[in-house]
Amino acid sequence: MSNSRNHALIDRYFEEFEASAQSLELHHSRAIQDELRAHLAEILPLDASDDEIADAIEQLGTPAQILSGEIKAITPQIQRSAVVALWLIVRIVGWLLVGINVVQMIIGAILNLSGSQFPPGWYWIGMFIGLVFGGGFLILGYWGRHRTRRD
Amino acid sequence: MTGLSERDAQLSRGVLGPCILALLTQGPRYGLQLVRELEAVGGLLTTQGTIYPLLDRLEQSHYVKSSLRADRGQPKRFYKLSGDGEAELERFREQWATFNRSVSTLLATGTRPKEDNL
Repeated sequence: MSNSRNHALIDRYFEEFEASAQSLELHHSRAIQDELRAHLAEILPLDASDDEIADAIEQLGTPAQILSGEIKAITPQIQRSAVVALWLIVRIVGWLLVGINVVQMIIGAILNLSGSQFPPGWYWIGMFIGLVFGGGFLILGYWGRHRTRRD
Repeated sequence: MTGLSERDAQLSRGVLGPCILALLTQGPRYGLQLVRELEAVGGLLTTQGTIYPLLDRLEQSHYVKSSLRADRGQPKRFYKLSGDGEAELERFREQWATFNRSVSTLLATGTRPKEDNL
């Protein structure tokens, strides 16, 4: 037997609410639903008639009405999240470039100090890396030194 | 009283949060209490359920704190104004005073308010 807590109208109302609240985080959706259920539980007697329940639901408002302000409020949050994500990507790429640069400098410094022979093809690799990242200039430096010594 | 027009709904949307904060200066309230008080003021609630997402958002913003308490046997979520909420309410009061003066002057006279009145 159904009462005002588990009436079919109320069940259908909350099914509709869940469908409308899909863009909300689950715990916020649940918190709002708990409050709506507590609201209905307080204003409806346990043996409420279908008409009383329908009237209470009407006064409560449709899920779309209740959530209309929320969906609009979420949009700027999504935009803010996109900016935060973009900034994070820029920072990761930035640090990656710094890391690559430092590694190249170290490699360049080791090669320069070791004075080992360097294949001529590395000039172009050094040139390319040097154009894209500053650290490649150290490899070019090594190449220059190597050429000078050979000449 | 509910069932406001779309224009009323738009007008009330921006002020409902601060009005809830103002009601909470009188002490903790639970949802239905706030609904009843706002309905008594009139012209603020489009539907009774409107305040629940708003209360959730006020809590997310740390303007209110909530806790479950038993009230006549039923557990109810009571909302209490926080320090941040008081500060936000004070900011809104100042904004509202300026906004109200500006719009009232403009609507009444069709001219913009004088600088020294702002």
